[in-house]
Amino acid sequence: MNKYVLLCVDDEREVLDSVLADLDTLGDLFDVEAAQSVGEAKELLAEMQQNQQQLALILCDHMMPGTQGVDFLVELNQDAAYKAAKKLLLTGQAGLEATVEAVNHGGLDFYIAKPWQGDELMAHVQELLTDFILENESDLMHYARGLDAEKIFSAIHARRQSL
Amino acid sequence: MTHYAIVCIHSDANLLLDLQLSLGSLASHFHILLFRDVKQADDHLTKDQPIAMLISELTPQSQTYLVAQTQLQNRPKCLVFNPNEPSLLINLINLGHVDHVIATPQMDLETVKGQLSQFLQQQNETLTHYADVLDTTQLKSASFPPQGQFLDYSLYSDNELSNLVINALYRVFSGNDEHHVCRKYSKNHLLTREGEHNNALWFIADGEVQLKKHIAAGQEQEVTVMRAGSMVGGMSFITGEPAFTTSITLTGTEVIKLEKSQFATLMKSNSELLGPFTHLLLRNFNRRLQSSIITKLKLQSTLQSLDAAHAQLVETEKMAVLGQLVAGIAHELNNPVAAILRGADTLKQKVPSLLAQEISANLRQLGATTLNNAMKITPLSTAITRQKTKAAIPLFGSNALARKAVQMQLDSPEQFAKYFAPLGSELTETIQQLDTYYLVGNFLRSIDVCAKRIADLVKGLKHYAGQDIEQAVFSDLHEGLEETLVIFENRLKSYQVIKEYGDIPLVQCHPIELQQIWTNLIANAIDATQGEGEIKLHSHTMTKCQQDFVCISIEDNGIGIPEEKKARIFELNYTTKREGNFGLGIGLTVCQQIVKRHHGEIKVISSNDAQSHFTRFEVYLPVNNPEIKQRSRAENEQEA
Repeated sequence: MNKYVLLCVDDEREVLDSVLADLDTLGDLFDVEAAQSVGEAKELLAEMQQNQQQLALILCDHMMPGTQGVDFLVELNQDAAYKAAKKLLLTGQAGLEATVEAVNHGGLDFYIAKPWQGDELMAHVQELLTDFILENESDLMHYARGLDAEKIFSAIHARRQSL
Repeated sequence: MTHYAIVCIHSDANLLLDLQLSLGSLASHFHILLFRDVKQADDHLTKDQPIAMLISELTPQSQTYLVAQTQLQNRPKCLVFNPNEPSLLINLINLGHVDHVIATPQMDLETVKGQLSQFLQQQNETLTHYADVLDTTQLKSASFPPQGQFLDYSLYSDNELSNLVINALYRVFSGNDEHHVCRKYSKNHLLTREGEHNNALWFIADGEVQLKKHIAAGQEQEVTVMRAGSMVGGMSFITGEPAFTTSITLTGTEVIKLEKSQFATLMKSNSELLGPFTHLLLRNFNRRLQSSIITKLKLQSTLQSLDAAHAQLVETEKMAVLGQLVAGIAHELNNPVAAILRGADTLKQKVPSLLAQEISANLRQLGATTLNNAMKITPLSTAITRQKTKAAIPLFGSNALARKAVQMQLDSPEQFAKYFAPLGSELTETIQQLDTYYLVGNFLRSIDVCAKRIADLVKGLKHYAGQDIEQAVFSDLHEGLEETLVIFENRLKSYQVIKEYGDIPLVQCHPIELQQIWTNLIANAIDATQGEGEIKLHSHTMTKCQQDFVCISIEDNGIGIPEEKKARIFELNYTTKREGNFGLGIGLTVCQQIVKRHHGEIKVISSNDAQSHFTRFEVYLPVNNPEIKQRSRAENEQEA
C-alpha cells in the first residue's frame, strides 16, 4: 500500500478506463483509485482515512449524476484533510460559470478538456504530483524516478543546503 | 365614347396652369387644351376635334373667335372670364352665345361639370360614360319617368340613386312632416339593436352610423360605418327578422325615419317613388352581398397564409428545441469520442508491444483468453474491483498488481496458485505482459460500445430533424421514446428515469411527429423538476369504443400544475417558461395538434399538493390509424 492516493472520478466507465490506462505507470508510487460517482469517491476517501493514506491528487469529471464534479472539488477544498490535494477537472461540459466556481472556491489546479492527449494528461499529472510531493513529503528521493526527476533533485539539493 | 375637347384660351400663363389643375379630374374623359391666344388655338385645332367647352378670356380678338364657335351646329358651351369692358360681353351675347361668366378668380368646377352635362345631353351622349367625372344627378332627378315606363336605373351610380330617393323623400315631407319623419339625431343614438325586432327604415342624409355585431366573449366588433346616402335597418325592415347588427350614430346625424305604416302610406300616395326605392334596396343588398363575398375570399386567402405561418411556427418550435438540445448533445458526444480517441491511441502503443513479446506458449494462451474475455465481458464496477483488490493484495504483494489481476479476473487463490505462484520473481513482469492483453481487449470493447452510442445518438437526431413519409407506418413507440431519451441523456443524468413499458403492439403513426411529442413532454418534465428528480415512462394498451389504443404516459415529480392553470396549458401563447428553457412555449399546442391528427387524445393529470406533487401527461393513440392527415401539406390540399 502506498502512502498517497491518486483518485479518478468519472461516471463513464470507458472514459475512466482510458484515464487509468494513461496513468498506469504511476501505479508504482501511488495507489491509483477509480470511482464512478462522487458518492463512491467519498466512501473511498473514508476508507483511505482509516488506512492513513492521504489524497495527493483528484482528477474529476464535472457532469455526473448526483453531485457534480465542481461541487465535489469545492467540498474537498473546504476540508483541511484534502485542501493540499491537487485538483484536476477533466471534462467537456463544465460551463464558464462552473469553471470559475472551481477556480475560486474549489482550488482548481488544472482543467483538461475532453478529448485529451494521453501523454499531455500524464505530463500534467506528473507535474502536479511533483509539486504535491515537494510541498508535503520529506522523503523526496522515493519519488524522483516516477515524477519530475530534475525538479525533485534540485529540491533535494536546496534542502541539504538549507540544513 | 367621343373625346370632346375643353379649350382654354388666356394670355396669362399662370392662369392657364391653374385652369389645367382645377380641370384635372376631367382629363380622363376630355382633352384639356390650353392656348395663349386665339391664333394658337385656330392653328392647332382641327375639324375632327369636337369641342364641348370653351373657357376663354374675352378680348376683341377672342370675341370674334367665340362668336364663330358658338354659331356652329354642335355649339360648345362658352364660359368667359369677366371682361374689363362690358361692351365685349354684350357683343358676344348678342352676336353669339355665352353660357357662363366666370366672375371670381377661382373657377368653380361644379359649374363646369354642370355645363358639360348639359352639353352632353344636348348631343345625346350616353351620360353614364361620364358618370365617373361628372355629377349627372341633377339632370336626371329633374323628373321621374311616367308611371309604368321603364327607367334604366343602372345609369345611376350608388350615390346618385340614394340621393335621388333621399331628395325625393325630403321633397315629399317638406312642410308636410306631421309624423316627424325627418329627424336629427345626436351622437350615440341607437337605431337598431342586434337580435331585436326592428320596425323602421332609416335613410342617412348626413352624418355617420356605426354597425356593430356581437362576437365571442361579450365583445362587440364594428362591421362597417354607414354614411350619407346609406340605408340602415333595411334587411330587418323588409324580412321581419331580428336586427342583424346594432347601429348607433357616431356623429350628429340627419335621417329620414320611416316606420312600416308610414312607408306603406308613402308608397301608395307617391307611387313614382316605388321604382327608385326598390332599386335602391336591391342595390343596397347587392352591395352587401358583394362585400361579404369579397370578405369571404379575403378570409380564405388569409386562412391559407395563416396555415402556412402556422406550419412554419411548428417547424420553428421543433428547431428551437433541437437547437437547445444540440449544446447538450455536443457534450454527450464528447465522452464517447474521448474514450474512442484514447482507446485507439492506447491500442497503437500496446498492439506492437504485444506482437514483440517473447513469452511462453502457456502464457500466450492465457493472454489470448484474457484478451477475449476483456473484449466480451463488461468490466467489474470500480467498487467491486477495489473490494477484490484489497483481498488479493496479500497474494500479489502490491495494490497495482492486485488490481490488474482483479481486472483480468485472475485473482482467486486457485488461479494465483495455478498461474502466478510458480513464477517467483517474474510475477510483476508477467502480470504487466498479461495486462497488455487485457488492455487491448478492453479498449476494443470500449471503442465498440462508444461507437454504438454515437451511432444511436446520431440516429435519434437524424429522426428528429427529418420528415415523416406521407403514409402512416406501423412503428414501435418504445423505440421512439428511447431515441428521445438518448437525445436528452445529458440533461437526464441527474434524474431517475423509470420505465414501465407494457407489452404494446406496433402503432400506425407518423413516428417523427410523435417524437416531437415525446421531446416536448420530456423537456417539460425536466423544466418542471428544475434539474433533478424522477421521470416515469409508462405504456399500456386499452380498448375504447371497440378500438384498440396504446397509452403512453410521461410523469414527473415536479411542482405540479395548479388547477386554475390546467385548462390553459394547451393554449397557443400560454407559457410559464422562463428564458433558457426549451422551445418557444408552444410545445403543448403542437403536441395537442399532432395527437388530434392521429385521432388520439392527450390528457394532463397533475397535483400541486405539497405532499404528493406530480404531473402526468397521457397520450392515447389508436393502434390502427390508416387515415392520418399529414401536417399542413394535407391541410392545404384539402383547402384547395
